Amino acid sequence: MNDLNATSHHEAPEVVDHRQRLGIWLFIGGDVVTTGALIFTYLYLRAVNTSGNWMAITGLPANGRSAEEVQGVLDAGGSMQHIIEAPLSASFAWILALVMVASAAIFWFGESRLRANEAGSKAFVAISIIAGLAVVAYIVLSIVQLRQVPQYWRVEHDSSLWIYTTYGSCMLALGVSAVIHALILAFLAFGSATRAAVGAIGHDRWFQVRLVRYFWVWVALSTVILTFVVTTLNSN
Amino acid sequence: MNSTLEQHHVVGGGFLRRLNFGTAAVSGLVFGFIAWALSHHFLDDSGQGFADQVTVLTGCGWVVGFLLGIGALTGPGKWFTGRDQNHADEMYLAGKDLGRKRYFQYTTDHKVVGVQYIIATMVLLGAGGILAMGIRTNLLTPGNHFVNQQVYNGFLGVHGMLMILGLIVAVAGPWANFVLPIQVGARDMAFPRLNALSLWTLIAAIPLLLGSLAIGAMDMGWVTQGPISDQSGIGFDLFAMSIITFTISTTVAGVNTICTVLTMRTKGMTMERLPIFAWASIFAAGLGLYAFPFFLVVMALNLADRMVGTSFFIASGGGTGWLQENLFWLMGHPEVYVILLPAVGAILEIASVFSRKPLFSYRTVVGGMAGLCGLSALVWAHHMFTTGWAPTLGGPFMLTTELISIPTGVIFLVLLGTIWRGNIWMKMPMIWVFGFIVNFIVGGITGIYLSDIPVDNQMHGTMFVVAHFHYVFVGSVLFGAIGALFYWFPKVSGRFIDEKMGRISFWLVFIGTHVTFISMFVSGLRGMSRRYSSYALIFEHTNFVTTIGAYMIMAGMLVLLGAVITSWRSGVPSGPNPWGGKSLEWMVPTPVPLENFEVLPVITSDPYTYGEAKS
Amino acid sequence: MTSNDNQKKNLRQIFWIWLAITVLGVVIGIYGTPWLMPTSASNTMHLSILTMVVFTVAAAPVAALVYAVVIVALTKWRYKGEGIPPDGPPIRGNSPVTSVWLVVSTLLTVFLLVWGLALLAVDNGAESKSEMTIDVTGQQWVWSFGYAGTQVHSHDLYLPVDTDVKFEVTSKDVVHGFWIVQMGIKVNANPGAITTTAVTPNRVGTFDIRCTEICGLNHAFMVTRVHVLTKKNFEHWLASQPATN
Repeated sequence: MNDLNATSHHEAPEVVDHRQRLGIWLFIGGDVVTTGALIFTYLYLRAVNTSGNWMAITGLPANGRSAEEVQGVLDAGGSMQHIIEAPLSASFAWILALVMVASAAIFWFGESRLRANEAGSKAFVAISIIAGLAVVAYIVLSIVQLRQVPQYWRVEHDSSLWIYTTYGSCMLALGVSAVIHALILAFLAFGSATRAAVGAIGHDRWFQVRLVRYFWVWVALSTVILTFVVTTLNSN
Repeated sequence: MNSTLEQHHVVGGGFLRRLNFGTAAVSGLVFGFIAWALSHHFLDDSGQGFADQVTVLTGCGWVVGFLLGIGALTGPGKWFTGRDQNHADEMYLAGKDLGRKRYFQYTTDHKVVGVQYIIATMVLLGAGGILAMGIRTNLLTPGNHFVNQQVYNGFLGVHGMLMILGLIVAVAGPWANFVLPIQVGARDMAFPRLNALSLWTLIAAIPLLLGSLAIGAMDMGWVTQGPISDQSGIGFDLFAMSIITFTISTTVAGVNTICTVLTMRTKGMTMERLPIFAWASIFAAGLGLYAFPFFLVVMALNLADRMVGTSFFIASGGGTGWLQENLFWLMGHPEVYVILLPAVGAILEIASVFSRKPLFSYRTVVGGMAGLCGLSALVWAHHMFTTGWAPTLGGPFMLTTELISIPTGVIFLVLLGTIWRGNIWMKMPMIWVFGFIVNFIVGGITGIYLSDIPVDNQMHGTMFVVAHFHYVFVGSVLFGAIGALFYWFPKVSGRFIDEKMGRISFWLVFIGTHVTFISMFVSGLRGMSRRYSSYALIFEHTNFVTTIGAYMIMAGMLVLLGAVITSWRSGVPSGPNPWGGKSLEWMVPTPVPLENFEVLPVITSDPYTYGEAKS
Repeated sequence: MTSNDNQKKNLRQIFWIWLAITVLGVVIGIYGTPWLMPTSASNTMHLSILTMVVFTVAAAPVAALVYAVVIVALTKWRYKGEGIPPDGPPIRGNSPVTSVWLVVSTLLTVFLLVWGLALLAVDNGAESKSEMTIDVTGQQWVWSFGYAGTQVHSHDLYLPVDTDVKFEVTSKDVVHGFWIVQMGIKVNANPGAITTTAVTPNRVGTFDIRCTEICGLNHAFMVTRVHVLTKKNFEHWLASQPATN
């Protein structure tokens, strides 16, 4: 009787899969709003461009300079300048987006191998590791890009402050958001690989891989949308 | 399935057996301390925003350590290494044969999580209530310096946020967890481990919020308006960390609620046969999924401004406070309905059971709730009529705001239609329902005044607004939440909450609410701004009355707390279905067994068949 | 008695209670609201008070209906026996009632909207005409006022009566809320932006300015006065002030 109950409480994988798919779509929905809020922030600040400060600022360029060096410049009679900053490299941003899209495509390909036949499981391990490495590359490149965001020293009331333009601020926020998403993807990619290697994912158990792919495709799509926004609407 | 695995691993739980609330707290403190020490060591302590960076990283350390220490990260770890939990693990996690211990652990059983949410709600509302008493004591007489202005401003912001968080979870937390899965005929929530995760991330967020008071209070009320948020003490960093943690908790909980109702219904439980509380819960959860990401983003951007020198909300760098206000109210108005809808759902359930009548016009009220959700996403700028942002949009936002009175009216129609010529059974839950109806009318109508721009130009930022939304939050939502507590408490504990103490607490809170907030309306009408730590002599009498009323509410809540505690231990036994309810939670035994149903029921009608032939 | 007779009796009771509460609400609306609000010192404030009165009068019958049903439910429909009451009549809806309810609430909403839009249209005269501009600057925790076309600055605001005044409001630090209590105008002072509002004071006297956005420690003390003078006295006052910047 007890055993009967125990099995009757056990649900069919299809039922669980249906539920998890709905769950992942809802999480993606929440993430769409988060990304939307960041795009809203970007477009809002660009549109209002308060006091012409979208990509311009009065200060001293600070990248590569320490606080002492900047202080030295000021002590030597140097003063803050009105700087109009150049947007971050569009081609670099598109390369980043391309890496993300490619990683999604690789993972999707791995999923199709996995679903195709018994042997696909082994291929999937290798392919998802490659996809994961692509994401790691994306993270590294993102950090390189984040370091390109121009930073300024501004001296006010005897104290010097770091400051970013609103454009730079938005690029930082979007970049950090991208890195967080990519870290999740890397976790999922390498996790999928280990799971396939130990047999927790297989030809007959690939539902979770599809869930990962849904999220991955969404992240790739959002990267393309964001890259489009920040490379086309970035002039002052 | 996996029978070999189960055999050599009969005792489930593994590492989780060693973890509980105590290890979580210790681990949280240790990780917080490590993060604090490391950030002191590695960060540039002459750099700007150093204190903020340290505080935020310490907060992160606490959250991660706490979740590690409770075992929340064991699941992802096991997933990553491909060692999935087996049946014995799952049974251990669900709290099988663990007795009281399971209430202090990462337990996945939805009923345990529901009880944990009751306690968390009480902590949040209790702490918020104590701060409210601090605020009101400070305002007892003009120029009374019960606390200094810095502390007072901290009280304002943390009181507001504690109450908002407390009310978001007040109905949805306990009852969408304890009752909802049983109502739809499920053995548990859709994702039991995520359910525990949402609870314990909420618990991790609470000390951050309270801690923010201790380390340098913030200056800007719960709306954390920029750019004053940039001046505030480091308490704000913990405050924002707490919100970010909380948004993760609600997102997880919202996904879980929606999936439970949409995919876990038992045979015959069509969407049209759902108890109305289930509808209210999924609407609220869906709206929360839309609203809370804005909350996360606005807090994250605020922290970025403080920590690394970005200029989102800082005018001198090109940013603008209006952006902060937009993002905040994009979250802030839907959030009102995230709070309100579950309470309305509970109220409608109670009204039907205690009038012994079917719910009046089921489809209309479902449509009304859907209308509330849709409209609430389109009204945010009515909080900004006087901020000077986009004056030309005033007309459209006035339109959408006033349209909300139509679906709100529908809720009243359905409530009145349900009690119409019923056999009204005035037990405690129903008493709070009548309190809800009386108060919600006041909260609703005063909202209509404020939607009108010329009136808002006078009333915005005054005590009138404060009284208005307290009529909604205290008078309506809190009354609904307490009604729900009296209604479902017998299912949780097998006992009634003491009727006599219940009536005393009702009258104290009910009269206290009107004394407090009617006098507050008068202060506002006569011209008192909100968030004042001190005021002119002309506001002396009304403020004195408000403070007395607030003490009455607190007294009533303390009586209620006493009633809940004593009744939990030694109340009158209730049996499984003391109210003669027809929804599924009343069909299962009390205490509800693990996995709720021996055999899943088959449903043939909605639970409102009062006075109808049995089918 | 049949249940139909009962229903008629209930409706009669509800009607009388409704009437009584409505009358009470209307009386409170007409006499109570203006009494509780500050003396009006501008047409804007007058319209604001008028709106409060009109909305209270319009809301009275709605609230009265709800309260009347509640009172009848508590007195007439209350079950007085022991234990779980027997089931009531299985009313699952009533389309005519629902339709009437929806139509009436929609009409009320349309009325609110038309009233609000009409008021907005009537009341933006002062800004477009603006015979005089005042620069308002908020900073923690004082207001200062500059009189356009002069070098005069003051911390108390001085205005000539019956003149269309436009305020250009900004802040030096954080957001403040500029509110002339008895004139019914309010706009936030934002750093890095100028917001505008306008009013035509129509009463000579001294009125209050209060900050309505929390702006730090002394938010509660960020108050000042506005002195509305006759036009002649105002010219006099302006001429007597030293030029500052």
